[in-house]
Amino acid sequence: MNAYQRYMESIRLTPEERDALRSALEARSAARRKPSHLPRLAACACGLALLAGLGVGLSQAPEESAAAPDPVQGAVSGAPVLTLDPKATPDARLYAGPDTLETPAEAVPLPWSTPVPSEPVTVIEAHPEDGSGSTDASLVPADPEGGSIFMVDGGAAPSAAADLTLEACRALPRLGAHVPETLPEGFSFASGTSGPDQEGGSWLTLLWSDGALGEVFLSLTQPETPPEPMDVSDPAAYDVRLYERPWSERLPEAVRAGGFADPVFRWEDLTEEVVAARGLPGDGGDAGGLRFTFRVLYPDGVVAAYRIKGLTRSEAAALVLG
Amino acid sequence: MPDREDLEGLVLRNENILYRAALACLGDPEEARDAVQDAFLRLLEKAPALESPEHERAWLLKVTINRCKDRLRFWRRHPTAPLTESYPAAGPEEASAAQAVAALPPKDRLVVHLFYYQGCSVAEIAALTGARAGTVRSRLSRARQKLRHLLEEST
Repeated sequence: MNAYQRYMESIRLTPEERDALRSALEARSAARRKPSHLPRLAACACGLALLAGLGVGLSQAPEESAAAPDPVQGAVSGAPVLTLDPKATPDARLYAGPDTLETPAEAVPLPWSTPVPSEPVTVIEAHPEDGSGSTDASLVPADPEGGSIFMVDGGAAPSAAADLTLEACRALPRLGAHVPETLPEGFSFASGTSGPDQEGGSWLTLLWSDGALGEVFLSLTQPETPPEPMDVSDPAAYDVRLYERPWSERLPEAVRAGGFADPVFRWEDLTEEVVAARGLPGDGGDAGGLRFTFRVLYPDGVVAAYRIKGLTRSEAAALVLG
Repeated sequence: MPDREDLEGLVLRNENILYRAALACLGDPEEARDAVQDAFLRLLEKAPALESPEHERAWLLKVTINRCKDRLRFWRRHPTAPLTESYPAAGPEEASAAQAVAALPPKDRLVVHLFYYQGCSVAEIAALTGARAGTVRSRLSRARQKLRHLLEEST
């Protein structure tokens, strides 16, 4: 794929295209700075009309319920009351934000257990055009700034992911117990997200950053069928130091097929040496330090996938082994 | 609202990364430019508190990808001409690779681009695209097979 990289590197916006882009941004942002009261008045009028209509509808509901059941009406009548204020939801303390950092003292309700997200949801994608991924049902925030836009991939029953504070991540049942206690110096918590999986379990992802390009990305899952762990007595199957790059040309096929790229280690087998064996020398990307990719299978069936950039071998081992 | 210099810096820092990702997904330069413009505009509107240029880039990349998905869904736009006609490749190897990637379905193209060009891990791609890691892996695996086949055919 080096040829593809070279090709892509050759593509750039021309100065004219950049100027056009900047001008368009300036024009559109300037236009949005000029508020018009007309849309607000129209929205208020529509809202009042809607409320009036709802009032009439509710007052007539008992009589209508005796008629033939309307599946849509039935579904709506059983839905919880929507609120537009995230702080008003039962799980508001679990949402990330400057004023929601308190640690829940008691049993923590799962953050996605509230049946209806507290913000309006716009489904922007359903059923991939190419038909692939049709069995993959997920409803996750697709909008990094607010989580108000969700994507449905596969059209299955909706569920929701939620942004969490670090404390809320740690408090999650099962998965939270595997969140590292301490991070290397300079790294701080950046984000945590959790949601339900298709097997009735849940997933949790966390990101720590050093403020530059160093990062620790951890994904915790509890799959119904745990992945096959690696035999740590055979370093040739997972030690990245034994092979020169590019692996596409130099890695034996049997090693590649054995899960070399993303090996799974039993927690019981994990040692500093095993973690160190996954540190790619001289390949920390733009960050200093090394890059690590591996998974850990814990005795309780939880799988932790680590994607680390910018740590030394000893720092990575300390992070994972605690 | 950023002033003109801030806006220029914002565009300069991110334009090509975003444009290439949009182009990889949409295949159409005009649509790709629109998707990038939408992403910048959304950042200006939302003005999220982003800690660093890297956060800024990740935020913009995710919004760009979402805009690309919107465009694919609503317009079903596909390139009417090979990408290499808009952006000629420097050599035959680059042309073959670009054409092979362009022949993939849009979502596979995007995953291939993020993995092989952008250097994202599977987990990072999952976070950016909203797909599960398993879906990303299967897309990558399927794309590799197709690419191998296409590149063998072209040689």
